[in-house]
Parts: sequence; structure tokens; C-alpha cells
Amino acid sequence: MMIRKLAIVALAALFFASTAEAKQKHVELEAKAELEVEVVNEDGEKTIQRVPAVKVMPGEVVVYTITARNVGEEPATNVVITDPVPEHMDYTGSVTGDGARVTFSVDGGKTYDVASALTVPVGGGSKPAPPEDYTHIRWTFNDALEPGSAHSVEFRARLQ
Amino acid sequence: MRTVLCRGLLMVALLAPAVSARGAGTPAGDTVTNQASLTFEAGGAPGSSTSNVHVITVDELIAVSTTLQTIGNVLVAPGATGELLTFRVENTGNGVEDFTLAVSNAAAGDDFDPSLNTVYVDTDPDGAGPAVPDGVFNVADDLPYNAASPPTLDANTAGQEAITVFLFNDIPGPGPPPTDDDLGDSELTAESVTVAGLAPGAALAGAGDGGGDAVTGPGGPSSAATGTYQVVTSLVSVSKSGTVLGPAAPGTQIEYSLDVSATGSGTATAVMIRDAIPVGTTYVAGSIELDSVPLSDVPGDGADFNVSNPGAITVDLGDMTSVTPNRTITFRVTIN
Repeated sequence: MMIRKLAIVALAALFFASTAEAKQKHVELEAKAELEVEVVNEDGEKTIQRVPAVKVMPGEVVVYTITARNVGEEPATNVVITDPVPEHMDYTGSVTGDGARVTFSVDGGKTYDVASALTVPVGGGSKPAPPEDYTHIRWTFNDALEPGSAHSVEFRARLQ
Repeated sequence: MRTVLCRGLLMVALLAPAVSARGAGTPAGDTVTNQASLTFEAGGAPGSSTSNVHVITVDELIAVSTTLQTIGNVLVAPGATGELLTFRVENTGNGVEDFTLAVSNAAAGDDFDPSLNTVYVDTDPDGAGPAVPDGVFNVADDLPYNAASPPTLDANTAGQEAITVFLFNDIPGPGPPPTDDDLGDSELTAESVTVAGLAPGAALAGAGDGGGDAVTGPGGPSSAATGTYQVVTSLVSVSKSGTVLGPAAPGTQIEYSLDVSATGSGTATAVMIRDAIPVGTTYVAGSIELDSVPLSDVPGDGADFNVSNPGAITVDLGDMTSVTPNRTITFRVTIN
């Protein structure tokens, strides 16, 4: 009897866990990082291609792409993506995010504002924050993310 | 055999990376992770999600800087040995790397070639404690460069990223050649052991510290600096004239005048003028004058007769250069 009771409790726990998981996975998030390389074809023409960034050397610029995909059955609203600028990386000032309002943090993610409003202290006053001082980037989407569709955003950062 | 890669695909060139001038950068082998997060609402309920964690390994960027520390040309005399040039070799990459040292004295474009004497590396192991490089050559402490065990420089640890190298060369001569103002160059090259001989941007997969690639920096695997020796010589000239003070007959005095001058860029040190009294004459006691100032015949005031050199007058003129005014020594003899 004792064993059966335990089994039921375990099953229940499993059920709740998977329900929570389903909620979490309503919108999936994928992060990737790539390097841009110049490729010369047989005709000597140069094109820029992206290759996965697995190993990077100081000074190289990495393109981070974050994709939010609605895998649920209902529209997702108030979609907000947040990504800290990775340690040892400097944000270069290059960001994309169609349909999103992009804000940044210079205080470790406590507060966010548009780039033009960000300042950092200098002497007794403050100055506009340079991109390398940004600690977090946030994309706030105006429109709902419909089931089956995805938002992709990008930013570039240089390895220190 | 090493397999040399170009980064990524074949025929792929890196888009010129902006390597910061301060060197170093993120230490080789470190990992850089990225994870994004998401909030949303669906069906009236809040939801959240996090992305996969993307991990990058930092490659080892190999770069070195050799600079001459000696200020200006080293002034040398022909035939001088063990003339010092001081260099600084710095690991400006982001890892721990061994650097070999090589000296080239044969380059064209100078007037003479110094010959390599020895190369020392600033180590200053003071016996019991750790090595304490001090940038100053000390023959008791600093170690001769050993090609089998080249210096290891850690770009990520302050104080261990650079070493001072003491290069000693011998100067040919005495000449000519070399002659006054001739220049001789000596070049010190430091080269990474890992990427020796590779072109900028060339990479060795997995050869970097911590498992990343070892990537040759934009400056290539080596760096050289040149020091210059400048020969300084000094030539002391003496012109002698005599005036017979009366008829050329026994008992008449002759006054000799020695005009001494120095030429060349160097310094003639401890110039001693010696002039033997001519046969058939007798030195007139107390007749030595230097620039019209009488000097004694015994040592003590810089001149003597028949003491420093038997049968001769000797005058000490000290150091002379081309800007020293000419010195005039006079003395008299009597015809026997």
C-alpha cells in the first residue's frame, strides 16, 4: 500500500511539472552566435558569409541572433526579450529588431531606456553612455506573436 | 608537422579584427557565454522562457612587441668588446607563450657589422627568493639566453608579460675600418615558438591556451628592434718647431715648441706628451712651460724632466677633445 501511494504522488508531480513545462515552452527562445567572414569564390568575388562562432579571438565581432518562436496555440502578447551583453564583450552599437522597441541598460539590468537617454557619470556630472558601457539589451514587441511565427533580433559585440 | 589553417572555411579571410593597442584582451581559453531570456503573456497568463546557453572559447592571439630601450646611439671605440644594447620583449597577445630570440648584425645600410658577443635575459634570481627582474644588467644574477629554454611570457599576469634582454656586441677594429662616426646596427628579433614562421591571421587549430586556436596576430609571429653603435675616435696631433736663440754654436739655446691638438668625435683620455732631449744638447733646467705657465722639473704639477721618461720631458695634458683649445708646450736646450 505504501508503495502504491508513493507512486501516485510521483505521478502527480510529473503531471504538474509537464504542465508548467508546456506553459514555459509556449514561446521558445533560441540564441546563436556567428562570425562574419569574407569568402572569395572562383571568380574572385568577395561575399560575406556567417559561420558559427565556436572559437573567437580578441578583437573579433560576434553577431548574436535571438529568435523567439511561438510554438503554442494562442498568440503571445507583451513579448519582451532580454539579453545581457556577454562578459568580456563590448556592444558595438549595432542592433536590429523589426517591430520592437529597443532599450538598453547601463546599470546591470536594473533600469532600461532608449540609447539617447542613457548617461554614465563622469567627474561630478554625466555624459552620454558609450555603447561599450551597455550591460543589457531589451526588445519589447508591440504586436502579438502569432502561433507558428517568430521574431528574430540581432546585436553585435566585440570580444575584448 | 603542423597543420596550418585559415580560420573557418578554406579561402576565408578574417575581416580585419580591431585588436586593441593595449594588447592582451580576454585571456586565451576563457569562455564567453550568452543566454537570452523572454517574458510574454498567453491566454491571459504570464509566461517566461530562457534560451540555450551559447558558449564561445577565446582563441589565443599571438603577438609580440620588441622595443629598444637604449636611448640614442651607443658610442664605442674601435675594438671595444661587450658593448650593451637593452631591449624589451613584451607578449602583447592574450596567452602564455615562449619566445625565441635571434640577433642579426649583418643587415645592409650601415657602415660596419658588430659581432655578437652574448645575450642575457633579465632574471635576477636572488638565490632563495623568486626571480625579480629589475631591467638592469647584473652579471651575477642575469642568465645567458638559452635557445633550448626560451623565455616564457604571460600576457595575462602583470609583471610577467615582458622581459628585458641585454645584447652585448663586439666592435671590429681597431681600424680603420671602422672610422670616426661610422654606424653599425644590431637587430634583436623575438618570435613566438607556437606560430613561428606563419603569416598574420594564420591559425593552428587547438594550439592555443585552453583549447582555442592559436592565431597569428596582425603583426605576424615576430617583432624586431634595432640598436645602433656609433664609432667615436680621437686623433691627437703634435707639431714641433724649434727656434735657435742666437748663432748656431755651442752655448746657444734652442727653444722647442710643441703644439698639441685633438680631432675626431671622441675623447682622447690621459694625453701624455713625451719629447726626448736631442743628442748634443743639454736641457735647460726649469724651462718647461705649458701655455706660457712655467712648470717644475719634478713630478707634482703635471710635468717633469728625466723622471717619467729618462732623457726626456713629459707633460700630462689630461683628456682632450676636438673642442679643447690647442695646448702649447715649450722648453729650451743648450747646444753642447
